[in-house]
Amino acid sequence: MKTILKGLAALALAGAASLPALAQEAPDTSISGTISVLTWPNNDRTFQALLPAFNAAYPNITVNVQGIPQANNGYLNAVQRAMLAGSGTDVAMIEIGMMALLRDKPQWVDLSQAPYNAGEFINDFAGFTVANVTLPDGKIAALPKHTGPGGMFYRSDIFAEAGLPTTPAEVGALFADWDAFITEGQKLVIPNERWVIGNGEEIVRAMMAQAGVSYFSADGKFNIDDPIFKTALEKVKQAADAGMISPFTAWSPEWQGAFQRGQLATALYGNWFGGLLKRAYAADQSGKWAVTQVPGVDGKRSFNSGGDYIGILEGSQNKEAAWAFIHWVVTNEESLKQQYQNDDLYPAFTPAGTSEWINFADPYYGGQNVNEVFAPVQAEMTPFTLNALDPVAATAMGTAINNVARGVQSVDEALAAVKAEVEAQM
Amino acid sequence: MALGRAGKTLHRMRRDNAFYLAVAPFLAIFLVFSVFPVIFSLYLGFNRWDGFSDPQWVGFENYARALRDPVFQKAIWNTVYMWFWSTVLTVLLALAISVLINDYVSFGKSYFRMVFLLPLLVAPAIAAIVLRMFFSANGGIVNLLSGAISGTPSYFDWLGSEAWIKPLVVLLVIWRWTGWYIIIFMAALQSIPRDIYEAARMDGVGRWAIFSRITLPLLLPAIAFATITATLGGLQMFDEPYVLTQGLGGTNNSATTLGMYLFATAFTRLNFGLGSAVSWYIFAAVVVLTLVYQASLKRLRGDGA
Amino acid sequence: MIGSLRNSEKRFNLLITLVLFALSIFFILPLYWTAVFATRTLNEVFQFPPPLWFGDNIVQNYRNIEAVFPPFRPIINSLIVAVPKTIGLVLVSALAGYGLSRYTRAPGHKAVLIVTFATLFFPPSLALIPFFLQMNALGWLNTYWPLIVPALASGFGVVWMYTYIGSTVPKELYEAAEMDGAKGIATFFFVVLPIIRPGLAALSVWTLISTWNDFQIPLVVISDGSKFTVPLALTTLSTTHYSDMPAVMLATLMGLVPVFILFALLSRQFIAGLTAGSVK
Repeated sequence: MKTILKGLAALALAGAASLPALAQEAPDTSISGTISVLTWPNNDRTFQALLPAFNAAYPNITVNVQGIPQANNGYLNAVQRAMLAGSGTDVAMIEIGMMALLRDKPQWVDLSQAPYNAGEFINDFAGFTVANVTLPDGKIAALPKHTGPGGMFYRSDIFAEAGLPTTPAEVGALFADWDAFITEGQKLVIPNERWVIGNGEEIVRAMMAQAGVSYFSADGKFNIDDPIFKTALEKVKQAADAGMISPFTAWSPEWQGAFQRGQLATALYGNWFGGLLKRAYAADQSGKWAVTQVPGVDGKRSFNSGGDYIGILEGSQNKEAAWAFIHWVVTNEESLKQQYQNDDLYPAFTPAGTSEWINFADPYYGGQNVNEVFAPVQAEMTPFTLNALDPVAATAMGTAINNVARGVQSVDEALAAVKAEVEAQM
Repeated sequence: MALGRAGKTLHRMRRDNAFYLAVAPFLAIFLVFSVFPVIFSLYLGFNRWDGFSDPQWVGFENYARALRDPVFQKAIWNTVYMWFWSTVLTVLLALAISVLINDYVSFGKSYFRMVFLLPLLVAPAIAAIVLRMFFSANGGIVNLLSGAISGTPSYFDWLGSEAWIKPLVVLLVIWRWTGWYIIIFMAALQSIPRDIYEAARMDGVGRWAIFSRITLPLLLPAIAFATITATLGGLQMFDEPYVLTQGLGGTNNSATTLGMYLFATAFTRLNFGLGSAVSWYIFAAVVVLTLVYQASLKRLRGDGA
Repeated sequence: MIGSLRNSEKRFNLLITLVLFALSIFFILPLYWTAVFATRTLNEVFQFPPPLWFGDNIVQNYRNIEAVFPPFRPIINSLIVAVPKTIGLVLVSALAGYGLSRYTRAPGHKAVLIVTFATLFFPPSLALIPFFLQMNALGWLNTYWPLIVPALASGFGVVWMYTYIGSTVPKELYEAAEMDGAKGIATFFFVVLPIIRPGLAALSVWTLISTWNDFQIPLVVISDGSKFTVPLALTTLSTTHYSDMPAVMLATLMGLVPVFILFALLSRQFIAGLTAGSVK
């Protein structure tokens, strides 16, 4: 009797293990060795948690995870250090903000070459991420891991209090474009007590992406004269004049506290923001939040905020094992599922978009399946053109946004300042 | 004996051979570990380098580029303002407090010696968090107090104000560093022999006269050291403005210092050539100021004698 | 008349003491709030206005630290770096400071002095990358050597000692020692060292504090999490977008304990220096 039960149990387990439709290999014992993986918190802990599943597929590969925090450019320095040292680190993650600076360096292994042949399946990833990792000469510098499809997180209870609709569909329809955002959003404002968004940068980032405009064009020209920048800054000014923008600096303790105290009615960020709300900023506000699309520019409502990639360093002594790891991490169902559930990281691997662990009624959002908002955003994103001077432009633009919001400069003055600041560095 | 110049020098070297032995450990380590980075940085100032590719020679372009950048120009003014006020106020406050602790305080000297150093022990980020709690626009303690006093709630955005962020950074610096200068002055005060004070008291010299005629001149080397150190720190100021403005430099770069500009250039944008050039600008400023101090000190000493 | 003078002096002194005490409250505040936050939950920390009194979450915060790293390990790592470095730096600096302040006529004196001063003027953060390249070439990466050995040559330390010894030790003492037959270096160890204890203590305090808080250089050198010093370990308690503030505060407090102990030990040196200051 016992043996029959054991046998049944084993069968059931085997059956369960073979259910997922995504890439699930039988244990591969041929690849062995030790690799060192560089990443930042909370990914390091998530990777650690993933190792049992990884080793089930690759029992002979030992993975050492190194977590270096991103604060003070710490992680960027660590990657740079790994690249300069030429050995010691096999795999490193690249955050979207660092992509422009790092991707064309020779220290990343070209994954389009044999034996990786990433080109064969690269189009299974979201289109704009493929553009980010592919260099003009066809080299693929890293594999896309996650994206940050953008949405408008909002407090449905505050909306109800202000007399606005509360369901995602209604709110999405009401806030169809940025003018509506200003006109309708004003109703949420209580001077010095409640604001609509934390920072004007949320507006500008979204509008740029929706208009499909990057800071620099492919030939390196600075796009500051594109009308979208002026329009975006004017919207910031209108929002600030209506009292919609909070005085807090994004990511500061006061800003985080503002969410706790219900002082911010919406937040325009990538899907990962939900994870922050759930775990840190608004852990006790379950059921009060919902997500809908952000207002659009000419009907385009998709924007991306965040994302990361993962690549192999040229100095790696065990590129085979490194490849096995990164390939598994970005395409394996269990891997993507845990990263989504632990950190709300949205897979760049498109087949994952139909999984049940990503499409479910989330009690935190009052039972909403927020993937209905995020999946279309991912699909419609226009690729960005990356340029090494993006950090310079972003910083200058950040200053301009704040100046306009605080009334320190007019929109034209602010734009001129951005132009001067960036051109001094070109 | 016909000793030439060389012979004289050799003789002196032999007589003072302890000098070379004494400075040898310092010089040896310095030569091995510090010379290379300095020379490399000088070389880098004339190149364009991102840390990975080969450096490209660009001559003085980095130096010119820095001068053209409106943010760099702002950073110069910000740095001078914050350096000046933080140096003057910190040194004066530390001087006053240490003299008071040493000569006037009736009990609890060990407590006072230690307490002013406490803000320096905590990481700058944490000291900044505490200061932000005071000056936050919404719910900050200062606003709450002023609202309670005036009757109407106050929401003044101290941290976001272009005018106030620099004084706040200076406040943070004073808060953190006064304790260290107190240590310096107390060490110096303690090396002044007690008999001088006793003799002066016996002669009926008043307390203020004791301070201005005896203590102060004897403290001059320590004050000079403190001022130079504060200047070095002030011109390179990075930690305090960085943590107080979340790395952004305040509204419209009103608190961006040369040190922050350097950090952003080199480590955020991986432009090490420009960063090196900026650091040599800082170096030049420090040298100029130190020479000014030296000259003033000579004149002070000349008058005092 | 002397009696009443004494009384008014005493009252004045008391007043000063009280004023200074009031002032010192402001300086205690960061530490106080660090302690308050260390006992609170993440929710409570974000309240406006922030909590003024202690909470009861300290055990949970400790567990949160434990979940990331063994709470005492970074402290030990920091001590492994700070103690040898402080002792070494103070010794090297005092020796060089002595040489520079006594032998002002030795050939090359001016050059060494200028070089020493010059080392102070250079912003340290820029040397980071060449420093890293050097350490890489020496094979010292991911060890504690880069944090101890190069730092022994501290321009700041030498200038401080030069200033202090120069203004504390009278020339007559050197002459007396020579007459007793003591040579240059021996004079340093037996005659000078005991007198300059306050100066040594001050430099030790500075070295200790700056080493304890040092973030950039260890970050560049150490890649193994188990070797992290306190500031690096603190940052691992934070993810990209939020920090577990109470845990960070508790870990900070724990990291301060050794500093306090060392500080208390060094403070005694100040008092010891008092009596030694009466030099003829």
